[in-house]
Amino acid sequence: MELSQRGRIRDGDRGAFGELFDETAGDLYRYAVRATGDWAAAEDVVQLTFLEAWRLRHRLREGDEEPVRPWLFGIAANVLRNTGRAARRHRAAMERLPARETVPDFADELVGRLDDSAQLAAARRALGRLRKAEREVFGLCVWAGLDYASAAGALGVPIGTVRSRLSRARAKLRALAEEELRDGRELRPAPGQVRGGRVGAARSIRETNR
Amino acid sequence: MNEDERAELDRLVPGPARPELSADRHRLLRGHLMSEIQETGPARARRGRIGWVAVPALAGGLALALVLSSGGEGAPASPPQARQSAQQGATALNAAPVGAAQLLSQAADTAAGRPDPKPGKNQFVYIESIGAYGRVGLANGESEMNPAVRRQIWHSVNGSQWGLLKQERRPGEPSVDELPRESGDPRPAPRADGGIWLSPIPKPVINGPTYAYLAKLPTDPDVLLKKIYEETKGAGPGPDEEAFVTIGDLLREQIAPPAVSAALYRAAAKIPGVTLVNDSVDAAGRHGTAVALEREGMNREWIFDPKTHEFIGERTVVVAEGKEIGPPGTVTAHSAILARAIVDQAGEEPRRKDG
Repeated sequence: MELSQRGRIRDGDRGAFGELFDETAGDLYRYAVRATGDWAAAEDVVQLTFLEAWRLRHRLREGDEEPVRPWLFGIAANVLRNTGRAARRHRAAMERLPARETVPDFADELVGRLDDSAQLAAARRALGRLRKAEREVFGLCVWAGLDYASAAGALGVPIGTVRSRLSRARAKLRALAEEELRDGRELRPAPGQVRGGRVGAARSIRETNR
Repeated sequence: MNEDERAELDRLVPGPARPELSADRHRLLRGHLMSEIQETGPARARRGRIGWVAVPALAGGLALALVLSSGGEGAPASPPQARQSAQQGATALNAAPVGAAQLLSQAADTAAGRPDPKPGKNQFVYIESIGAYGRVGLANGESEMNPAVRRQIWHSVNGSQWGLLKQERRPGEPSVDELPRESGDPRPAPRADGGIWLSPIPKPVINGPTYAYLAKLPTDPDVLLKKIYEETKGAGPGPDEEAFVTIGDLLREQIAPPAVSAALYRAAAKIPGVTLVNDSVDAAGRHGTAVALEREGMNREWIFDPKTHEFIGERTVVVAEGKEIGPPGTVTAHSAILARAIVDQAGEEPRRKDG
């Protein structure tokens, strides 16, 4: 018999971290891409999340068998909230992260897909309507698939707060969807977007992200 | 939230067509991570509030709010002068509202007048309570309370022994079984009654105290409050909220010597923004007067028996108009303390006092 994953992670078992990475890196990455609108930044978020998880492993609550996932996404939400701080904390480690140029096709391939870019622009527009706290709850509940209780635990807020933020987010997003339908905006490319231009598309995404 | 609701929300914010982390990048990032983290042996588990919510708890809805220091929206606490309770019928005053200060002073007097339990170091503090927090249906937009569940907790007086928690499970709530055991596992034998062993507390702190620790706290309210602010610095949505909640945690599921209990109440009276609520009701349906701290249109209330001024329970309730969670008066969490006692063994229930 061996300790649960939770226990092993708390105890600083590297193997358990490796397993956790294999289980969750893909989901964290998808979450981070949607939250940042930036594929390269999303990789940094994934890595910073795991470095933070290692640093904060002793804060995992003990004595239960809850999945580790909500805790990890809570850390990711914090990293997204203040990426600069997390990056400063792990500067040395992040400098040792192999440069992305080693796999040059990756970002290009995705960023070059204009459909994706248009979608992202629409997403930024939608998310721009939300307050930061509402976006966080939206991201955790909808993209990361956490339930209310897990999202509440991840963010350190009451369940009622999760629910009310999500409810506000839904109301605002519905209103926006109706506006866009009325204006026919979804038929036009997003402002500032260069159709067919990979670089332009990539830049417009990054700019909207700032 | 069910899958249909999630899918609807998902559609409202379009995303890239399922961006995937490529296998190459996955391997590369994993390798980097493994080279950056080093074996350091078991990390010291932080006790404290984290321990309190290690299982779905009575206080879950209340305590969850405080588990992570990074929670909340980081809004600074309003200056005391600007703060007003929206509670209807409440005596909402400024920084040191006479009503709230008076009630807390009466609670302090009551606490100070109780006999000192003088527990032996090998005994246990026993608290029995009921409580529940709200559940929400995104589809209909309605929030409703879960049925209250019974919770019993035993804390080792000096933290040297294993504590115990027994809590009813709500229908459908996932089991909170203990971690699997391996040979040499230090825990006592599993309990047939579903109780969960809580780790000993060799190094108590304000958020994870023992009776012995509480007994050594300063009894000067100013010194005590300063210590609480210092030890909870940076945690929670704001220093005042965190101080209020820290004290609330101690009132809920601990016993302290009379002088310390009294100091806790007097310290709470000095927290800016604490207001009086003339009528509140706990999870057992008992009415009382309460003190509250408002945050984001929600009051967190400590409820006191209107005659004896004894702490009887807690409630979190909407007080501001326009909250989507519900109109003023919507209760999102509540609890009621049913018994406090000193017992000899974890799992031992005190004899019922009749009347």
